[in-house]
Amino acid sequence: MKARSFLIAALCLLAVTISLFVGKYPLTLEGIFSDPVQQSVFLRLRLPRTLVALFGGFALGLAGYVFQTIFHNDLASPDVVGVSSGASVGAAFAILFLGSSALLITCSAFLGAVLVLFLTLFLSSLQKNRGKATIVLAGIAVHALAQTALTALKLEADPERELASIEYWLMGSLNDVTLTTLPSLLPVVLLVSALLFALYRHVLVLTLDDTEATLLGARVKGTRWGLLLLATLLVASVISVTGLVSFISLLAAHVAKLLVRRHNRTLFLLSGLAGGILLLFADCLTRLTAAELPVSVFTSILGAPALLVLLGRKQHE
Amino acid sequence: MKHLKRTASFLLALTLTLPLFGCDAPKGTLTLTDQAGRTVTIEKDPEAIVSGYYISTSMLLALGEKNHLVGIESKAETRALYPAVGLDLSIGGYGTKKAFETEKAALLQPDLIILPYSLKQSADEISAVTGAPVLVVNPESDPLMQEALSLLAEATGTQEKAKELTNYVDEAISKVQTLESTPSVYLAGSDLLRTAGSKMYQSTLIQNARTVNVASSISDSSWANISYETLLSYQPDYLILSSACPLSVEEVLSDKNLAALSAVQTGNVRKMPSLYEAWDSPVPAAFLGSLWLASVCHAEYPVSAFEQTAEEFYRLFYGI
Amino acid sequence: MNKLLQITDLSCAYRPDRPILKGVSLLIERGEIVGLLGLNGSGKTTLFRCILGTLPYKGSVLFEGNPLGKNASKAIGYIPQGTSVPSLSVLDFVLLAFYDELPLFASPTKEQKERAKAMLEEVGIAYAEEDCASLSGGERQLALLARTFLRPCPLLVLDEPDASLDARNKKRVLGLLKRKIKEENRAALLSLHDLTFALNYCDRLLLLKDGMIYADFSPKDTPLEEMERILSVYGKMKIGMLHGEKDLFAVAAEDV
Repeated sequence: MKARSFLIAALCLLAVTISLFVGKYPLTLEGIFSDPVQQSVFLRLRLPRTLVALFGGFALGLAGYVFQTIFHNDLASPDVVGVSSGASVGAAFAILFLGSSALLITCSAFLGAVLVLFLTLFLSSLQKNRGKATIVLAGIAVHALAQTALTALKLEADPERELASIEYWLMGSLNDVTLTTLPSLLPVVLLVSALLFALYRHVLVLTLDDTEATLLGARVKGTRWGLLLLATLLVASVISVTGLVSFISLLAAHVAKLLVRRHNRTLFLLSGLAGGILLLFADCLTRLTAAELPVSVFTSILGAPALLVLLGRKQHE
Repeated sequence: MKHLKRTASFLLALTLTLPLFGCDAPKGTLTLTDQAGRTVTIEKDPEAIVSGYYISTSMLLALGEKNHLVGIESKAETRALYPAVGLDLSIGGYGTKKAFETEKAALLQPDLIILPYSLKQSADEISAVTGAPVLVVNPESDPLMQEALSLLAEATGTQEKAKELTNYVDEAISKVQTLESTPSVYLAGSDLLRTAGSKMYQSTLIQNARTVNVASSISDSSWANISYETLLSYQPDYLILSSACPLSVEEVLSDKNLAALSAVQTGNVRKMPSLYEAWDSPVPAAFLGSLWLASVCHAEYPVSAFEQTAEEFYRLFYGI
Repeated sequence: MNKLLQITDLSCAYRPDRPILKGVSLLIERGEIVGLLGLNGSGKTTLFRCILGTLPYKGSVLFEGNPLGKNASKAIGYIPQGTSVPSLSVLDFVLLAFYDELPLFASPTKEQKERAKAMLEEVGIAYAEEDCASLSGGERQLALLARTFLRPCPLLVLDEPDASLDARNKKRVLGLLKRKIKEENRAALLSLHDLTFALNYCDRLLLLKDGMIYADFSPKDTPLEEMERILSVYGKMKIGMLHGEKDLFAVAAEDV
């Protein structure tokens, strides 16, 4: 166990180091200390981008773990409650009607994501059966609704500019990350992650089925909603800045489970770290082409086959 | 070199249509091949033209066809050009790049309809419903823009005017080509970090100004997104904001992330102006964008030369 | 309060025209081990669900004289049939017993961990760090029992706890249950299929038939012929006494 944790930590350090030194503007170790231009690039662009990839991926990994554990389903991800669609609608709305200020787009996307969660939970509460499946079904309905809204917004958009911006946002990228992006993301991620770690016990109790958990004194519905809200806040804070990033939430916990099988805080932490490492590597790959490709291209290229392999292995066990 | 190529392609387009004159076509008609490869027969000298694309509208106006326009594209009220030439804005609203108002257009009983390339699939159907011939234009690069212009000239019998216009433009551009230096330019599109690669029309605009596009290593045929780092590694001599860019020059100069950019440090940041039209799309006046850029980047080409040419061009060809 | 569970005239139906329970009444007191017998589909699990409050019913279910309401988790420890266990370490699984005793942001205390480990030892599970999902059926039941015993609930309700256990594990699990119930003055209501075991193990037996408690008897105080008659719902059988170290009942089906 100790050796495995060491491995993950080392991998993380490697990913961070690579990320700090890969990029369009050539940086050298001495250059960072001597050349003011290199310093500016490092502190204003390279370092923030690395931090966003690390902490953003971390947040997505944690959120994926929470969703998979709460819904007792290895294929669950925050998309189950429609977070991504909500954020997309928020971003598209901002791009169309609020101008192109990055901060406005971020706030609008964040609001969209959280509102969609509330809508999903509200819809599910109208049903007599308050179980997990109801939330999933409500999420499907809300996702469809959000997609319709998104299509309507896209139709309104000018194909030359606004539509292109919306499509690019939907594909996700860390291109625009600068020093000023950090305050939008880091505080929320750190705070909510800390909260989730402190509340981990409640994630554990939800690994039991509802009746069992209730008989242990758990308020199942409230706990579920609370944890979903925290996980959604994590995802919303990341994707409102980076746009939609595919697969990290879905994949991270599976990768972590290769090292730690049982549910405990270590697995939780590893899910986060796995997410961070994945996003760091994917983002490094995006910096290698002349026109930077959206990060979801690489998370999908790496993620889809990886997921198939991991799920296939699980079948054989 | 460039202007030779232009004239050549214009003449080529013209000669391609000549053989068709000998065919069995009823008197008073022309058979043309549009830019979607469709063979279309139209009646000579159309008097009721509907143009569903702002670029073809501008071209038709430059060819002197203002009085024959009975319908133009939607959002016509956003174009400063139209009120300036005295075009009645009520003829607007007949379509966008995404969809054409077929039924509305049919009411006008037009003699000719011009559509953008994005609607090429519906061209035949629109023609059938309205009973009018449809020409599809695709002016998305310099040579294609020339082709489109000659096609429209052919259709409206204004080849003389078209030749005049092409010569004027070629001459203006050739004056710039003799300039000595070739400074590098970064052109920001609808966003600071969005630029045009070598395959895009805007790259030609840059080249015609005897400047170099720093983003020419990008081969996307649509706007490409880059990062601050990429921009910094480009270190262009001049940073140009297209007229569509929402940022102002001051905002760019005060962007801390660009402080290391030499263009920012020397204040070589400009926003492309637009007189009646935005010049970073392939309208006939687009060459003015290159002239303006040249006037910014080359000391030997004064702004006054550009301003004079701009004023003269619109006077000669648009009557403003 | 000695009267732990008092059910009066309980009726429950999944569909209005097909009632499962038609007026069940029973009483369970501290210190008792009560077995619930009945054919498959007679409503044993339904009765448990009504007791837990997860099914709507008519009639009254009182725990120590009061309706259960939200306090079911403090009153009753329920071990359902064939649960799947999540992938937790046995220790973490058992520590969930203290879930409602801790404040929101707290984790199990050292003292609670000690108690849990002690209970695991008592129950006979060797490795606290073992993954629950890799436990055998018997060990799983033991883990569940361990968790339930760490909670203060006076009444334990078990749905066929012996279902997938071999004879040795059956003895282990149910033996532990009996010992703890007697030691801590709790009570247990469990449904069983193994009649021999039921007769030897339980203080009292209830037979659920046609939606009602058809019989309520104590094996030690009831004549053998009487019991044969009561249990004839299962088919004709013979009940005898085996005399050894202890007197044991033996049940054999007659018409096999």
